[in-house]
Formats: sequence, C-alpha cells, structure tokens
Amino acid sequence: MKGISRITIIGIIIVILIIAGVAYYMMLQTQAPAKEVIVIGVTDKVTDIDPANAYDFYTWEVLNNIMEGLTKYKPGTTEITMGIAESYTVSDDGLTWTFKLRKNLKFADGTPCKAQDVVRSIKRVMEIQGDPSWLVTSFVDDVVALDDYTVQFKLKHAVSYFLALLATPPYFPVHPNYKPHEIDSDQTAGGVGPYMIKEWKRNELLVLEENPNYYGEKPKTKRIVIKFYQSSSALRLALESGEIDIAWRTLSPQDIEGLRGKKGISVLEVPGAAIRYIILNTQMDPTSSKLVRQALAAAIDRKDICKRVYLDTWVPLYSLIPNGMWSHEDVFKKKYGEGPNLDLAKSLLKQAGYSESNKLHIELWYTPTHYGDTEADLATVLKEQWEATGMIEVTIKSEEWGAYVDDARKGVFMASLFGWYPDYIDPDDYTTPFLDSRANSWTGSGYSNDEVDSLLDQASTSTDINTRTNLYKQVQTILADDVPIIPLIQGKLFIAYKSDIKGIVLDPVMLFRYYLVYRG
Amino acid sequence: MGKLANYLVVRSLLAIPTILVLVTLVFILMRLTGDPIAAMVGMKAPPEVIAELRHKAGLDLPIHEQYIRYITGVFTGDLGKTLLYDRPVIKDILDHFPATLELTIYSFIISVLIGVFTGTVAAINQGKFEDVLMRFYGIFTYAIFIPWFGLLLQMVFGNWLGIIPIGGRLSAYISPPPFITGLYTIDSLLTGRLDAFFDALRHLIGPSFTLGIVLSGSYTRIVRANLVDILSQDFITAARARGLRDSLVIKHALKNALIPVITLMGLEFAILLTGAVLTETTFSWNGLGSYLVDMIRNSDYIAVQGTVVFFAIFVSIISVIVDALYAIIDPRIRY
Amino acid sequence: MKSRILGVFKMRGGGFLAAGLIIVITIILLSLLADVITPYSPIKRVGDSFIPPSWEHPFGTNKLGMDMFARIVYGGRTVLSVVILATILSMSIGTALGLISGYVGGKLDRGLSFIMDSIYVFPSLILAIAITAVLGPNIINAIIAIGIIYIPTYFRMVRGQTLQIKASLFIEAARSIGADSLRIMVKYILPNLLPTILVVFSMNAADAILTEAGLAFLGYSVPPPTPDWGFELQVGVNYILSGYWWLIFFPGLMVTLLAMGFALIGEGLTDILNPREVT
Repeated sequence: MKGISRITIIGIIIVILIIAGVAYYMMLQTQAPAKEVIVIGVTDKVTDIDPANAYDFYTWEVLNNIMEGLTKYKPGTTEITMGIAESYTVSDDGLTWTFKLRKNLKFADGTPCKAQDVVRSIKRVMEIQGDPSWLVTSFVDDVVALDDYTVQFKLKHAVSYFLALLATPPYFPVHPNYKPHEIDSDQTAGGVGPYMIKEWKRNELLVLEENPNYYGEKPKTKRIVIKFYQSSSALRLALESGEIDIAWRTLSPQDIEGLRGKKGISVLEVPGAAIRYIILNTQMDPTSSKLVRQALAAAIDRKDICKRVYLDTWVPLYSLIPNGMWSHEDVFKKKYGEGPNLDLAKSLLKQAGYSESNKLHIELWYTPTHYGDTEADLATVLKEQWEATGMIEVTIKSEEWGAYVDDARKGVFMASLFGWYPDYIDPDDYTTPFLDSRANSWTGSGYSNDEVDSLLDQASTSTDINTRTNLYKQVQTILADDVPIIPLIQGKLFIAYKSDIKGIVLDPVMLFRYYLVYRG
Repeated sequence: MGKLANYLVVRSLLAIPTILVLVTLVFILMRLTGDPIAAMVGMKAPPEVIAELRHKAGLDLPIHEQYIRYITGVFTGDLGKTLLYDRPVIKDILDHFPATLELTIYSFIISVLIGVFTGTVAAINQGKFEDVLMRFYGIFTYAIFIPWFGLLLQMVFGNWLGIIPIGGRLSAYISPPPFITGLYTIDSLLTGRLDAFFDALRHLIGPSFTLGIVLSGSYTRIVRANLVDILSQDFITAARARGLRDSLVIKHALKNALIPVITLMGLEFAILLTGAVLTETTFSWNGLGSYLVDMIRNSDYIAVQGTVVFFAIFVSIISVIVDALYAIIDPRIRY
Repeated sequence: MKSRILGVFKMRGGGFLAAGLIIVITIILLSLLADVITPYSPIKRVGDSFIPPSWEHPFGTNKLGMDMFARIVYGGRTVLSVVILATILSMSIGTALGLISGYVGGKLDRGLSFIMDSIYVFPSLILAIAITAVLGPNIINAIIAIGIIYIPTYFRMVRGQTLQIKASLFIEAARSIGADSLRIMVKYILPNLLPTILVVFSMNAADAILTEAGLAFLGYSVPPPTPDWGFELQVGVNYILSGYWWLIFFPGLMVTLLAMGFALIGEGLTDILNPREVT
C-alpha cells in the first residue's frame, strides 16, 4: 500500500515542479509593447461605433478620434474651432447656418467626403431616432447640401450654442458603408478622423491606425491599441506590469492613490465636467416641503463625502453649473455655508414640524453599478450626515439601472442619486434638462417654476454672453432656494501613464485625443 | 449499436420538454420585470422614442403572441437583439461562450486529477489519519466560497508574489490567436503562436485552480467511496491472495471505481456553471457568466433571457452526452 | 442519559458532527450576542479608514472607518436569517409537494417531478440571480429566490422515500384500518422522513449560505449599510492591490466557515443515521 501512495506523491511533485518551471519560463516572457504603438487600457466599454446610437462618454471619445464634425474643440480648451468646415455664416435671425467644407476631404479608404455625405449622415441620425438623436432633432428643422462643399442648416429656433452642438458625434459624417436606415453597431468604416479602425474585438481590444487620407496633421503615434479591462484593479496592474502605457477611464480612487508616487508612473489630474447630485421629489410628502428640502441641503458635508467616499478624487460642488465654467456661482455655499450646517438644518426641520421624537423619514435611492462601485458608500455617508441632525431617519434602497431610470421618470423616488456628463459644453446643458419644467420630467422631481422656465428660454436664445451669464446666475440663486436638486460633487479626471509618454492633453471636454500622444 | 443510437435519439427528444419548461420559466420571469426599453434609452429620451422602440421590440403585442414569437425564436436559434448594443444575442453568446468553455474544461481536468488523487489516498488509508484528512478536504472544498478563494489567490500569487495575472484571458501586448475554436490555448497551438499559448495558460492558472479545487471535493468523495467498495470485493481479495502487487491491484480497482465518476460529471455540471459565474466575475474572465452578470446590471433583459435559455439548452445537451457516455462505458446499463 | 447523548459523538461521524455543531453554534451565538460582544455600531464610523487589524479593531476598519469585526458579527444576523428562512421555505414547500406527489402518484406526480427535475439540473445561482434581478434586490426577495431554487432538492428526496414507504406493510396496515390519505401522510410517512430531511437540511443550508453570499457578492442582497458578508467581499475586491487583506480575508472566511459547519453536521448525521457504511 505504502509504495503506491509514495509513487503517486512523487508523480504529483514532479507535475508541480513542471508547472512551476513552465510558469517561471512564462514569466520571463513578459515583453514591453513595441515603440510605434501606444497601448491604452480602459474599463469603459464601446457600445455602438455608430454616432446614430452611441450615447455614452467613452464611445464618444473613440468616435472623436475616428471621425470629425464641422466644428471641434481646440485641445486643452473649451473653445470651438472649425473642423471639417472651413468657415461659416449665420443669418441675422440665427436660424440659417451655412458651412463651407474643406476641399479634398476623404474617408480612410479614399472615398471622397462631400457636403452630401454630411447631410446624409445627419439625416440618417434623424431617421434612426437613436438615443442621442435629440441633439439634432430638437434644434435642426432641415439640412441641405447647396453644392458639393456647402451645407446649410435651418433651425427650429435660434440656439446660442449651435457650434458646440455641431461638435457632438450625431453631426459627424460617416462612411457610406454604414447601413442607411438602421443602427450599425460594429461598423468599422468610420468617418473623417485622424485614425481609422484596424481591428475590433468587442470588449477585448480596439486597434486604431493612422488614417492616410486625413486632411489635417498626422497623428504623432501610428498605432493606438485600446485594451478593455473589467476592473480598475486589473487596469492598474496592467500599467504597473508594463502591459499598457496609459491607464485611462476609469481608475478607482484607491487605485489612483496607489499609483501616485510609483516609480516610472505619472498621474495627471484635470478638472472634469461630470457632476453628481441628489434629486428631491417636490411632489411627494415630505420632500414636497421646501423647508425639508432646505434642511437636507444644509446638513450635507461635501468635503467629508469627497474625502471618505472618493479619497479626494472629486471636489465639492455648490451649484449645478460646474466649477470653472462661465456663470458658475457657489450658490449653495452662500446660502447654507460650506460644511454641514446642523444648526440651520435643525431649525428648518423644527419649523417644518419635526423633532427628535417625531423624526423625518427619508427614502434615499441609488443604483449599484452605473456610477461605479462607490455608490453604496455615497448613500451610506449621506445617511450618516442626515442622521447626524438627530431628527432624520434614512432608509437606503437600490435598483438596477434600467428600473432605476424608469422609476425616476415615473416620480416614484423621494430622494435619488444621479449624475450627469455634459452633451455639449455650455451652462444650458447643466440647467435646462434639470430645471426647465418642459425638459426635466426624467428627473422625477416634478419641479416647475415659471420664472425659471422663462429665464432659461431667454438664456438659450440670447447670443450675448453677459446677458446669458446674468440669466444663469439668477437661475442658480432660485435653485438654491427651491432645492429640487442638491448638487454634491464634481469629478476630476485622472490618467496614469508611463513617464515616457508625452502629449497627453485633457480638458473639461473630457475627450482624450489619441493623436496627440507619443513616446518621448 | 442500433440500440444505442435509438437510446440516444429518445434521450435527446426527452431533453426537449425540459428545455421548454426552463425556457417558459425564464420567459415568465423576464415579463415580471420593469420596462426593458426604459433601461436601454437611459434618462434623456422622450416618451415618443420609447413607444417607438417598444413597438420595434414587439413589446406592445399581447403576451401570448410574444410567447409564441419567443419560443419560435428559441427553436430557430434567434434569441433576439440585445437592447444595449442592438446585436443578435446569439452572436454575443457565441463570442463569450468559448471563454467559459475553456475555463470549465481546465477546471474540470484539475478537479478530476485532484479528486482521483485525494480519493485514492483516502481509500487506501481507509480509517487512518489520511482518510479523515481527505474527507475533511472534501467537506472543506465543498464549503469554499469561490470569490474568497479566488481573491486570496489573486492577493497572494498575483499581488504579493507577482507570479500570476490577477485577471483577464490574455495580456494586452499579446494579440489573440485567430479564431478557430475560440479557446485560446487550442487556437494558439493550432496556429503555432507559442507566445499566446503560454500567456493564455498563465492567465488560466488562477481561475481554473479556484474552480478546480472547489469542485474536486465531490470527486474525492465519490472516488473514495467507490474504491473502498471495490477493494473490499472478492476478486480483489483473491488477486491479492494470489500475490498480485498492490500497485497493480489499485490500478485495476481504480479503473472500475472511475465509472461512476462519469455520472457525477453530469450532476456536477450545473455546479460547475454556477461556479463559473462567480469565478469569471472574480477573475474578470470575459466569459458567458460575466456577460450574464454584466447584462443583468445593464438591465438588458433580452440578453439575460437569451443567455439563461442558452445555459438551459447547454445543460440539457451535456446531460444527454453524459448519459450516452455512461451507456457506452458501463455494459450493465440496458437501453 | 447524559452519557447517551455524548455517545452520539463517539459514533462514526460523531467527530464531524461535533466540529460542525461547534462552528455553527459559535457563529450563531456571536451574531445573537453581537451587541454584547462589540461596543461598536456596524454602520457608524468609529475611527480612521483602513486601520489594519489591532486590539482595538481585531478585523480592522473599512473605507468609511467602520469596525469590520462589528460588521461581521452583525452581518451574521443577515446571513443566518436569510439562509434559515429560505431553507425553511424550500423545506416546507419541497417536503409537502414531494409527499403529495409521491403518495398520490399518477399524472400529478409525473408533471411535478418533471418540472422539479428541470429546475434541479439548472445552475442554481444563475436562477437565483435572475429571480432577484427581476424582483429587485432586497432581503425578502433574496429569501424567496434562494427558497425557490432549493425546493427540488427536498422534493426529489421526499418523493423517493415516500414511494418506498408507501409500499411498505405498515402503510397497508394503516390503510386497512381505515386511515385517510392525509392522516397516513402526516402521521405515518412524515415521521419516517424526518432523519433524511434533517440531513438534507444541513447540507442544503451549506449550499444556501454559499448562494446567499454569491448573491450578495454580485450585489443582489440587502441594501447598505446593513452588513452582509458577501457584500463586504464585493467591496474588498477593490483593495487587492492596496493590500488591505483584512477586508477580504475575514468576511470570506466567515462564509466558508459557516458553510463548512453545516456541511460537517450533514456529513456527521449521514454517518450516524445511515448505517450502510458500517460494513
């Protein structure tokens, strides 16, 4: 008997030794990526490589690298410049916009891109009615090609930020290969951008290569490989082990912290344009009471949230319009103070008829994955902060994103956590969708204020920046008093990369231009 | 052989009602849920767009018509289009399935190897310390919480010692081998891509040992029980009495003891898939399990429905295969 | 009397039973006496974030500065209540259906068996996720989901045994003295099933714990900040590279220990109640 188990044991040991040897050999195989290639790792996903339906931040970034619209943002700023258009004119009533295209525009395979292609692509978006189509249909009445190089838009009403809208993907011309009447999620023909798609394996990798027919400056790096990771930890480890050159969206707060100060790795921090906030239901008892809403706003400690939940990767936000954008004003700080104003909160609650024995009951909703894995922590900390008044009792509830959005629209939630990425960089995108009673039904706040509606109308049609600034300031002041929404925090953007990588330009537009990076 | 073929046909036909029950169950479950379209369009879409999309997806039809459409779809291989990416669900499933298959195959091999080894050690040391130890091993592995074990492996071998990757199927700088079977280790060998082969193998270590060890306990138990049974039978005693070497005796006994392991394979398969969901999530393994979890999180109920149906069909097919194997190998079975 | 009870532990499998009982009872006591054992609240900040294990905080603190030991002992309440209620649910429904199905037989039996077998072969966690995802993630729905998926486990076993017992002489005898079906099932068959139900219950409890933890790990259990082991582990995933091992090690250990406790009890009981292996 003994002989047998000994032989087996020896056998097993040999197998283990072989495995260990092979493992060691394989470890030695780790190689660095080639020179003319830069590998970028992300945890985000590319949804549809089709501007007619793509409506998420990361896909928009990829589209911006393989396509271009009539206008674009100047890298490093929020300033709009001309893209594939050379010049434009606008009629006095602001309703007719005429664009002259650059000559000799070509798609990556050499097919010429003319005014008709621009018109075809925009009409395609209008017909397919995908998620982002409202960016076209709410503003554009008709678009026509006057000749091969002239595109003319007729707008439904004057829009002061039309040039910014044109820089969004639904306005990008796409290759004729895109299916004309339906969404084409895996189409790799692209548009008129600095890069073209060389290889595409959904959720695994995306290989971009220099577009030989691009009209503008050549990309600094010929080939960009984007690797899709499933977790922030995997992304971080890939950077540390040298698998990738750049770790981009989205590193978790603790991984950013861990990467800072690592040898050979740099971390760049830029202000972002993403905001987080609590929506309060103004139609539901007890948040229908303005006193209650104000008390909830007063009890919040934004610095504590940033520190404990986000390890200071987000910053406090005291208005819906983000810090750094024109017309921004710290209205909540002015009204309720910087930190938790428990005395004010308590006195407001007392006025509203609550006390230590008769507590205010709040139901706070969050969605567990859509906004990253810190949501549960955020909800927990808010509960702690509100309950610190001694007069509030908070119940936390959660729903998956689908049901969450649906229920929010139905007005089922009392208080719910949401976030916003801008569609276009303009204060309008941070006010109208939230506060205009004709546009805010998705929030479920039921908020309606005629004065706000008319102020926002004036602001979106006026072309004078001083007038607009003034109008947005008034809106923000009313926001802080009515409190249908409590702004909480604003995101910073982080990108970690090997120190020999140069040319990383990030700005509040939050689009990473791959064509500017190179290995130094 | 004609009999066997008959048996297989009948057995396969019997699987259809099972699939039907599961598919119906899934259908009912998914109709109980909220509006899948609302999930898809997110928070910014106007109501008209939602209505239009509901119509396109056939969600405005009466429930029985939806059911008929759905069942016809299932039997013609059309599982609908994902809400999230608007791609055929079956395409997504076939994209992710090879990863799951690769993981389960390696885990299965590891679990059987460990199971046979530990089970044999226990049986030949019956009643001794080793036996108790191995029985304890069986119970312990049965109770291991997969994410815990996987994360500990990642922490110790991935982070501290740095000898295995902490997740994924392939390193970024290795381009995947051309698609033949979808199993990286096989495709890379077939195309002579040794770099990809070793890299894929390295990534397999963590997840397949996690799942393999967790499942090995059941094999330990069954191998031990069978071997003990066989070792006490007359022909073994006789062989020993005739002076046959112990090692030969064990080898002979083991061969017989392994037949019931096949039955266990069938039963274990559902557990293997359950384990695969957790293992894949823990190791960022881009297989069908993590696809399912991902789609549930994105509330893409069409994709969830399709994936669950696919699992149901897959499990049924496996049980047919296992039954067939058993019928072929064990001559005592009458069919 | 005392020696006879202790005698159980001297039997074959008694060691497993004893070990299992010790583990399970210890964990139950820890959870029940949580308020006495730890001075901290499981849902309030008690100190800095990420303090490694120390005398003050034996299991360290988490990101929000909560005491992990407190979260784990209170978390036991969540886990135990979900698991116990769920297994009672599946046990009662499974047993009742199995008994009726086995006793009545015929079409009803074939239909029920067929449905139960279909569910039985299906990967249980996947079904549980699907159910909770549809019903919404909260404690009641977790109980329902886990309860449903394990009904077939009891059904199959009870039905099989019922068929055997039904054929036995003493049931014939009972029927001949005019006992009605309900009476036969409850009075004569059920008591004979109890030992097996007990074994299945303890093995099933181990499964249910792992499933509950799996659900929580994937985010389909109780909402925060209510402590729950599986959920703690999900949070811990983010800290592998930061090296905060205590956020992963302890919660997972508790899941495994508790499941193992029940599995040991099941193993021991099988040995004791099932004299088949005595030869």
